[in-house]
Amino acid sequence: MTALRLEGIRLRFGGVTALDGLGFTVEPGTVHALIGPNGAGKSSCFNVISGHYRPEAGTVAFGDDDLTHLPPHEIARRGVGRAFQNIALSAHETVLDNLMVARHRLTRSGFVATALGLSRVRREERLHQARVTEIAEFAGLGGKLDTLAGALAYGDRKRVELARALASEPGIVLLDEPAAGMPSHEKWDIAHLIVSVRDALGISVLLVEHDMPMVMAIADRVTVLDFGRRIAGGTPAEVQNSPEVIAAYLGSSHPEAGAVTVSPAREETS
Amino acid sequence: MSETTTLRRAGQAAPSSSSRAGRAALVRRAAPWLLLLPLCAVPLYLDGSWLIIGILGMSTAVGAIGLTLLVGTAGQLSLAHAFFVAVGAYTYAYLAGESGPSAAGGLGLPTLPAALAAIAAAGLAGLLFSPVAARVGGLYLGVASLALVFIGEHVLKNATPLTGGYNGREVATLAVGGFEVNGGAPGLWVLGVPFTGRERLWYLALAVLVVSIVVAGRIVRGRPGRALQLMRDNPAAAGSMGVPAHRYKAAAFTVSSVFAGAAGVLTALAFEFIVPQYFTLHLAVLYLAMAVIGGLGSVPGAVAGGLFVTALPLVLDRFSGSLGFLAAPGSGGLDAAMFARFVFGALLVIVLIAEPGGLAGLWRRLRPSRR
Repeated sequence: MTALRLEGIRLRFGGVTALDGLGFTVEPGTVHALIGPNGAGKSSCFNVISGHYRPEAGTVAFGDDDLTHLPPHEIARRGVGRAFQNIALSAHETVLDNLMVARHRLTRSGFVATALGLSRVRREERLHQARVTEIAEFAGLGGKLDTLAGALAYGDRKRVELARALASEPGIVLLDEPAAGMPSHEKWDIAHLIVSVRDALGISVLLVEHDMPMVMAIADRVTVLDFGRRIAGGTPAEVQNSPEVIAAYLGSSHPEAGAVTVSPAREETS
Repeated sequence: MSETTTLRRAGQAAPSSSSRAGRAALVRRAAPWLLLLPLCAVPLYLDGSWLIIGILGMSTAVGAIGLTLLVGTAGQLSLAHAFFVAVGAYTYAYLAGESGPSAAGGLGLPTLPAALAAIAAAGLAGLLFSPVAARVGGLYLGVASLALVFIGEHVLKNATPLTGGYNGREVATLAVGGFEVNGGAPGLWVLGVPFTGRERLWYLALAVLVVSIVVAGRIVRGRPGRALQLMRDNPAAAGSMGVPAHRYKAAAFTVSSVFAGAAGVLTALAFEFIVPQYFTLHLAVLYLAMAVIGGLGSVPGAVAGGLFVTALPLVLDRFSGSLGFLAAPGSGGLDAAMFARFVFGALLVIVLIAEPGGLAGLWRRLRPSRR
């Protein structure tokens, strides 16, 4: 079991500081929620961890592996899985094919071996299809493996997105708003699923989610971001009572900026 | 349409008919192979002037398969396909050609190794360009690859000892163990039909096409294909699934060049004499048209597109006498080639607007029972 550690991450886009000395640790085997108002830097933080953005300063480490300067595919190989917020599936491929892509780091068959149809290629394919089928059933996609991803209902596509992240057999999985836009009962299905990812699969979860009741119910630890900084962290109960968090969410005077920044635009939309 | 789907599903659910479902799957798998039988019989019935249309169609279909892998599956636009076809064609002609008193030289290698080496050379040329292909994406790669076509044209016209320059060069007859594959020696009669160059080459083209379809199908459906498709649809997601983008873009480009090389060798064998005027931007655009009309990313679609785009002007030309509206080639009027170009242009527009899946998409729509 390995911990994901961020230290002193600074990320800037031109003059805008997206992340400002951000640091926190996701302990192994926990559901760790990353919350904050829109534009607080949650998705930027995910993009730094998974290598899509390169920070100006700071380090990201997963166990003994320094991820800071690695490209996305190398980070994936080291066991960091990711589900995307705006569903990033191949719409014209089946659910099975969409999930099989995630086995990329665990499989070997290259162009030549595949073209020749070697027996080890077919064996590998069978083996991994069996495992992917298990994962799909775990994620509640049992009978839908042969459906085209684009033909699925929204909620199921979100599940495929989540199942794909799991199918890479990661040590930690980053879930970017896995329940966004879902009706309440489906949301709680996803919440249960996330908890069993931790308990049954032993995978740590780093979660960005706007639905506060859900976050407070399933997270072991919560880190609160505002303006790219960590303003609070701890158990859900500790965070809920933190004055900084209340201030950030209700839009009263910002403790760091020193000015009154009441902005309805930063209210939660979910 | 939906009735058939439910019926089939109900049939599969019944335990007694599971073997019937298995047999149905077997028939579906075997059906394309049964199609080969009539194709193998074609040289018994058609004369050489028709066979050559089929041979050229199958040759370009091989190249179109390569391009659909690159443009359709990997989402990388390339206008350089004609260049790699030329590399295959000229490498074979040079390696297998005798160095005689004629303008173009040759190494006089045994022809079968020369053909394989020519395919490898096209792959190598693709590999050499692949660092560019890996770093430039989509439309920009199209522009970058355009340069290759012009460089290629220049080299073909000026490297006279290799290519014969403007006047082109002869292509040696391919022989396997003394048996000429696109020639008449030794004499061969099958069911009373003399099998000379074109009859024999028909089978070679058919064999190469079948191998290409099988190989490309495996790649598209297998691990590399899935990686390429996700890279096309969502590069960020592909990265996070562990797909090294640069390597896969480069590999897709190289693989596509190998197919182009095979198409080049076949085309050279069919023409028996190759000239630089064939391997131009026009050919590159025609290849793109094949891939688009067939349906980007679909291997059977590329085959259909390749056959159609190649055969249409040739068939029209054969009938131009009886088709009153077509002028004789070179007369300045609307000849078969010109008319075919209008048809391709119109088809491209129709495909892009009405059925972006191309012929393959149309086929799927007509048979919705297969998911």
